[in-house]
Amino acid sequence: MDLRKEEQKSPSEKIGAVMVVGGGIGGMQAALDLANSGFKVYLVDESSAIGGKMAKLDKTFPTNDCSMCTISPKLVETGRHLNIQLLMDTEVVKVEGEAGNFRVTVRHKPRYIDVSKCTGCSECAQVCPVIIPGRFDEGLAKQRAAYKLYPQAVPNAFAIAKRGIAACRDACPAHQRAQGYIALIREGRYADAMRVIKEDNPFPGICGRICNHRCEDACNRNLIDQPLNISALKRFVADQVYAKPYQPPEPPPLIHEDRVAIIGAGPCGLTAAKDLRQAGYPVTVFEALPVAGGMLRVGVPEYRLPSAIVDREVQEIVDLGVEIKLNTPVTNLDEIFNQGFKAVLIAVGAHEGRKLPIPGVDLPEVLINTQFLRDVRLGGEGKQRIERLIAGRHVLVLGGGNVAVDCARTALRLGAARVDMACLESREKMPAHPEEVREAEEEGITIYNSRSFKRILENDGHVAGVEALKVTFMEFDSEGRLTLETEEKSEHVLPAQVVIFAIGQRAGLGFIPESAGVGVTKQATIAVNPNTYAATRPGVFAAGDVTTGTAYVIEAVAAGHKAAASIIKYLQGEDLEPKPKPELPVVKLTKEEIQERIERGEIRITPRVPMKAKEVTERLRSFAEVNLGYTEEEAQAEAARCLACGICSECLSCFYKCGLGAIDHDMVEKIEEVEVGSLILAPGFEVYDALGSQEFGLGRYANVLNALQFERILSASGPTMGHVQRPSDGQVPKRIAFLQCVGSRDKNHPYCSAVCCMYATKQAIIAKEHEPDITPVIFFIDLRAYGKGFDAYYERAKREYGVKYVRCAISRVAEDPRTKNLILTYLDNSGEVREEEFDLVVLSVGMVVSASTRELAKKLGVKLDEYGFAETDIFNPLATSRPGIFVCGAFQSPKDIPETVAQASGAAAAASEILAPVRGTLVVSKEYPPLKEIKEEEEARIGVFICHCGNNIGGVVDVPAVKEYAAKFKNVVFVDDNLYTCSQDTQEKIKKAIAEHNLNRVIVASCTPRTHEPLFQETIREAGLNRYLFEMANIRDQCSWVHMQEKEEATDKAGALVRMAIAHARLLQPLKELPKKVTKRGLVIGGGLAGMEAALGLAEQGFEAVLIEKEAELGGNLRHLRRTLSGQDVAQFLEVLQEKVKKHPRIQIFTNAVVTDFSGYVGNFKTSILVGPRMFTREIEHGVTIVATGGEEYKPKEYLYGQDERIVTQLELEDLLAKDSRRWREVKEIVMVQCVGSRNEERPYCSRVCCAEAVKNALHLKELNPQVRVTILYRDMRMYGLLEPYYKQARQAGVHFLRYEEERPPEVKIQEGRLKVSVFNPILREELEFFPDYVALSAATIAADTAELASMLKVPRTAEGFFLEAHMKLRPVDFASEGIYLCGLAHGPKLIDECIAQAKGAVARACTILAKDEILVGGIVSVVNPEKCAACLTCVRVCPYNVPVINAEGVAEIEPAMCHGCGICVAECPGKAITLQHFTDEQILAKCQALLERELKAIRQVEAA
Amino acid sequence: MRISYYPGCSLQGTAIEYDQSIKAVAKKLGIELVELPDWNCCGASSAHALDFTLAKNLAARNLALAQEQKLDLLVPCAACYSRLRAAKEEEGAPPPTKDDFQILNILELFNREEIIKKIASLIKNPLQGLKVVPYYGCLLVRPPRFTGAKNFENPKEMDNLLKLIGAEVVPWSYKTDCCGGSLILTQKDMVFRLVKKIFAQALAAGAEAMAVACPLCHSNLDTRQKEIAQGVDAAYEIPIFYISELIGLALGDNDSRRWWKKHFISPVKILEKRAVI
Repeated sequence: MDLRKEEQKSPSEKIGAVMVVGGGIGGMQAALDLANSGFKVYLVDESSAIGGKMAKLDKTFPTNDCSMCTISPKLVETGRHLNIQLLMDTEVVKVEGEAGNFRVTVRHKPRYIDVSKCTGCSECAQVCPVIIPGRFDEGLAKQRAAYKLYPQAVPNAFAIAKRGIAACRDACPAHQRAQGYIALIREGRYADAMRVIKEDNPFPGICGRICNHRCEDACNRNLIDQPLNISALKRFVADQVYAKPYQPPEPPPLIHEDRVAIIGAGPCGLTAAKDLRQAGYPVTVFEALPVAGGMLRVGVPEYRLPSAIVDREVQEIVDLGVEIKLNTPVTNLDEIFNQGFKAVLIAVGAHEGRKLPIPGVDLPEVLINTQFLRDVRLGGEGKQRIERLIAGRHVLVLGGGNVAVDCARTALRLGAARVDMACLESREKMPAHPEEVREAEEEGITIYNSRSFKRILENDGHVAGVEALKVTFMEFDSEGRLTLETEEKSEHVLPAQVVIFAIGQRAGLGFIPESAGVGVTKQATIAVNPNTYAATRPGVFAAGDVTTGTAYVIEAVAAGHKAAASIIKYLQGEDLEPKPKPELPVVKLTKEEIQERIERGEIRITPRVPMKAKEVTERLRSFAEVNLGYTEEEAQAEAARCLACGICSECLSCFYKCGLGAIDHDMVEKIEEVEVGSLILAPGFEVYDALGSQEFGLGRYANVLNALQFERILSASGPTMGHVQRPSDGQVPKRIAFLQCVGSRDKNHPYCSAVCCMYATKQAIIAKEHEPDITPVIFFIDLRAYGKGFDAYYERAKREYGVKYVRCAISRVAEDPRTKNLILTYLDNSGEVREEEFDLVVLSVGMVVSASTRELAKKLGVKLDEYGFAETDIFNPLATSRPGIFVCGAFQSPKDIPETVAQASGAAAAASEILAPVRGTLVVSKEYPPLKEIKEEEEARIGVFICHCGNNIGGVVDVPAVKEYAAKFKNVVFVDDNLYTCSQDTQEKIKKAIAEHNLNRVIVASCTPRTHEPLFQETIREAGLNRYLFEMANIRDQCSWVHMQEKEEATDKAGALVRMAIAHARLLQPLKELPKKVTKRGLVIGGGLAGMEAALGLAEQGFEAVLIEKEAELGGNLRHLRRTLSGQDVAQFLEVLQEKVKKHPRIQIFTNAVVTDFSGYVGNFKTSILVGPRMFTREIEHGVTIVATGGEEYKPKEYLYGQDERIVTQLELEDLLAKDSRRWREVKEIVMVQCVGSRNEERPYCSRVCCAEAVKNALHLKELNPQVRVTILYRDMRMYGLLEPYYKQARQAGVHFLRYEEERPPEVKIQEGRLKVSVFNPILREELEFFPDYVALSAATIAADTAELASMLKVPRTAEGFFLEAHMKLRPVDFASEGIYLCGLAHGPKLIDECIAQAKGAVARACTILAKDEILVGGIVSVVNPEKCAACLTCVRVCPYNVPVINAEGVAEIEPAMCHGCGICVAECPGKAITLQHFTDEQILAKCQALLERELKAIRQVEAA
Repeated sequence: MRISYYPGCSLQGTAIEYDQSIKAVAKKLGIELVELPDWNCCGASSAHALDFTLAKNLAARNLALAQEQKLDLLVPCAACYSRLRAAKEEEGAPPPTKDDFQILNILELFNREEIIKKIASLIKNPLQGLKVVPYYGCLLVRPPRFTGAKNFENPKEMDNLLKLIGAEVVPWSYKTDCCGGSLILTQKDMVFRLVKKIFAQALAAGAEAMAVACPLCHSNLDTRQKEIAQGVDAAYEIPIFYISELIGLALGDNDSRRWWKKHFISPVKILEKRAVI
């Protein structure tokens, strides 16, 4: 990266903010380090919560720490940090500008829940009916569409998953949320389902029967088996609800005066009437007929739609306060306006049937559809007349639509002798619904298709048949004009005695005179604006069939809604055109996706549940309803078939439930521009999708899981609550096989994923810990336990846990179809082919860069390597190809958690280095009001706030009772209960209560202090109270959650917890935190690569650095290295680095220097050094210390090293190769021996670098002399991560790799002056001999001698002499003692880029201290009472942080700046001389006494007696 | 639809019922098979094991003949298919031109969307209840760089066809195991060992018949059951069908019975049991 250009920039142009992309452990660490060292941070993640992959893990290797327990504090710290802004559900769109000054465009995807209002109470998820495969549990468990990613998620807020609009909803003109009410049916929540239907459609019972359900045609289930029977389900809901006694709705208040008239009480008019009335308008409906319901009531026959249903649904609208005037035809539109109506909706439908203009249509037996049906429906005289006409006659219905079918079937029921239908259309083109046609035919109706009608034959003044022609072609054009071709001479007679025309209907518009100013089209419909339904005269609207011609009920409903919305806008004087609204995409599933979901077992092929219908014979006897509806069981079974295409169905259950108004389904995507000085990419990895490796059977065999799924199974919060069970039958597996390198080290992924050997080992151990009978077998190629403590862990797995390791790559998994066991064929350790059954197979899937990360890189212009990882330089491992954009974690290369964390800190250092001049310019710090003084003798005035947590606590614990109980206690002066105590408005309530009631102690009884204590402490501090005057009682986790079924006892326990909290609160004292100044200088011990990088890093950050080196020259091991594996020149790099360090004005270097004394604490250290050769002493004051003391190559005692100059170490060989390249052209054979001095009893660790070093030298040899035979004798080739491709390169170059067994190491001899190497080959099972020219020994890396330094610094080391970090996983560059950091070989063997990253990491950690002017000390710390101290040293020995010292007065002293407040010394001190503030004995005892109140009373009574 | 047809030697001898059933089904489906004029040996078995150039040239001549036809080429024998695909896809082959033809095995042809639809519309005699394991063997899908098969570990083409004609497809793990192929001539034991496993697994999965699309697989599985059953508790009697025979049966072809007269293991009993004949 070219920094020079940046330096020319004036500091004022730079921006003191950094964007971190990716909220996993790497992103969080980078964000925290940056925010803690004076930079504003935007933390971006596409997910709804931070935590990344680590949050999914059960345990972590090699310490078996609980992953969640270790990550959780980081989550909370990140989430609460004042200078970290979380941008969740967000992706980066583009980055403009340059290093120091970027403009980043981000896209916030809608979450549908307002994070600032959500308290995480989970009520939305409890009412959400949509079930989808759980993302967090890798599809092993289900989740709701309203979800929180995981219980500890930060932000502690829910989100709603939407994929788009379900196809059914999209296809419906009224956009009925079918998926929503179907999900509610499945849950048995019929009233809710009814609510969802009615919000879009006032006629559930009607549409459930007669809708043409386009939703079903669109249903994605069509691609699998059959669509859902949506109409039947809708009808079912209506049937369920209507079976209960009718409860009239409460009429909504009338809030407007403008009256609206609606002409026509059909579905369109009534829908509009309902909407308008609900909006508070007075509505009058004018209906010409004696009944309301329009066509529904007089057009559709009773056997399809019982009148009772229509009347019931109309009544509900009337009861809302809509006035319907029956028998009131409107004859003149103007009159309506004269009556004072402000707007009119014309919704008169299309009730006028038509006859064809052919001879014979005036015969008495020729009827018209609408009139025929209407007369029958209205009964009385009209019906009797028709019955007389039809009974016993042969009826022919002309027409092919649904109305024609209705006419035909009605005629049949009226006693016709025979009924036929004839229509223009071919069978395929008939507009009637196929189901209707089928039923008609079942009833014995014959259909003549493709006929045109020439005339009606007459016999004696009566109908005698219809003369028809055969149609060869017919088509309606877009304007409804017919093109018709008939076959010549095809005339024939269709016999009939009665003819019914059913060829269409139109509106009767006689009441609109031309003078009315309402335009009418040629098709005799009213001309309207299709968006607004406004007719040409202002105030007049028209909708439904009167504007479109005959259509379906659901279209009338849809039009009614839109017309009502327009009328409201009109009356309010708004623009009528609806605003364009961004819509979600319609979800159309592909066959491939469905296939995959079937394979994953998410979808089962199940045909739809048929609806029972009356037998044909029974049907024809009456007009009773034909279809019988679903039973509850049938409906739920059918509902369970729904694919939940849209994910969230917008049923709005959550919206109505949420008491905080946090749900907003109308949220839309937002684009925002953010200015930052640099970016860090930490998007992490995704696990390889092993569906791509079909030979292993993931998805195909139930008991094959990927490692992340198995991790969830092991997790206590996972789908099986941590019980090891196999999916096929829930049994505990006895034999588990782990298959390594799935999606790693293969043709498509030629790299090693670096972590799988260890995580498989961990999973094997944990599985065994859960179920001791399990035998885990790990099938592997090379066991890559290369990290700190890894080899010991591997050995423990073998020896202590009996984990079996088999060196064999499995090529396929077969399944026993009976037991679902899995059959593996492999070569066992003795070389025999074996076939073995396992109960469970876990695929150790590798890491891959996700498509979205690749896309991100593309958008940012960041180069990727051929595998998709960010391209970086070995000497600058955290910089991407674009200056100012840095990288860390698995996106840089596959790696585990500690290396990710170290890199994350390193990236933070790199990103802030270029912004050092603008440090602190964009951060905010909080101003607090002055503290109220609380005198010790002052009486406690306690306020208790008890939380319902929505229904979470309140549903189990009787909160009002607890409130009443708490109020009785002494000192309690105020008690309140809140729905959500953590919500923003409640914080204000608490502050107000503190002021009004002069509270000086506050108790919140709610959830867990782990997440919420800091929030409430902050609140009381804002009210002027010391934050330690706060106490919490966890009545959710410990009462309502664990005792959900025992409500009384839970309430009782909540009372006890509150009682204890009160006892504690009475004794709480304010604790002081004192500021101490920070010395802004860092000391770096060790001048090798890591030390130089660290010193340079501190200096570039603007701080002074003192670098001390024990040797005369800087450079350390780097001086012995010539080149890197990729061929880069190390010497040149070293030269440049030395120059930079030496010339830097803020770096002071002492060579030949050793540390002689060390004292002080974070921010204020003092170190004495002795500097040679003149042996003067120096005392250095510094705020932080970085230990970079390095390591060295072991001088072997094995393999005749030192006895022959042809036996050399790898470093020596490297030197020889560089110095004298010509000599190597003569050499014929070289043998290299790995693990010399490593992985043995004396040094049970892997030296990590030697495999790469050997491959490097081998490749160099082959480059110098392609003829040379190079043989590497190894135990495991640990070419982890991106080293793997070099291993392959070496094999391709002809380097031989021969494995030897630990028990039978090679032998090196000198025989007659020749070198002889013999080694047992475990594959050939015989001894091989070599006579090489040279033997190169891959000697161990050992730590520098730091025993004395470690005791001065009081920092721990491992048994092998490497320094021991504070936490193996999450604090890889920190010591437990604050302000002291480590990096480089001092920590453990590592490669150049790893040293550099770690050194930068140490710098970032150091900057979190140096950036502050002062640090606060005190609070919850231990204090010693010198009078009681006997100087027994117990505290000195037990303190894990080495804080207590025996001071000059001869008593223990605990420096508050260093104390972590863990309380161990307090518990151990035999003289009770130490007290932990805030947790004093007095306070703890008071709590216990409060808890045991009753018991103590009883004891006292017994004693008294 | 017209299509070139390369029967290869098996379909004129040991696998004549494969040839007959393909032709019968093709006729029903309206596919006109145009036998490649003057075709020669594909080079399988001996040539490709002994002489690389000869093997390539034999296949190449057939390809040249097919090129002239300007029609896609149906190659029902899996070994022929493999040889011709290999010759076509092998490195150094000229890049495909616009009027290039495709080499299809029987499964690929029958899985074309229009043919699937056609079969579905013509089914007269669905094989309801017949439990069949689809057995692909190796050459129909492997090596994928020649065959272009996407799901070479778990192919689905035969499964699809069997489901289509109403049979019950029995899932099993040994779809693509090797039957030993022509090693039956030189290393009987090896073939027996392989075939024994295939039978054991098919039975374990609950199959009552097996479907194949390769004359060699058919021969190894059908003709040796008695020998293989020696020393095993079970007496194997599993009918082995060419997929084309089953489709023909489902389409109601009257000749079906004639085809399986040539089988060593008669399927009549099981077909009667399942009432499909």
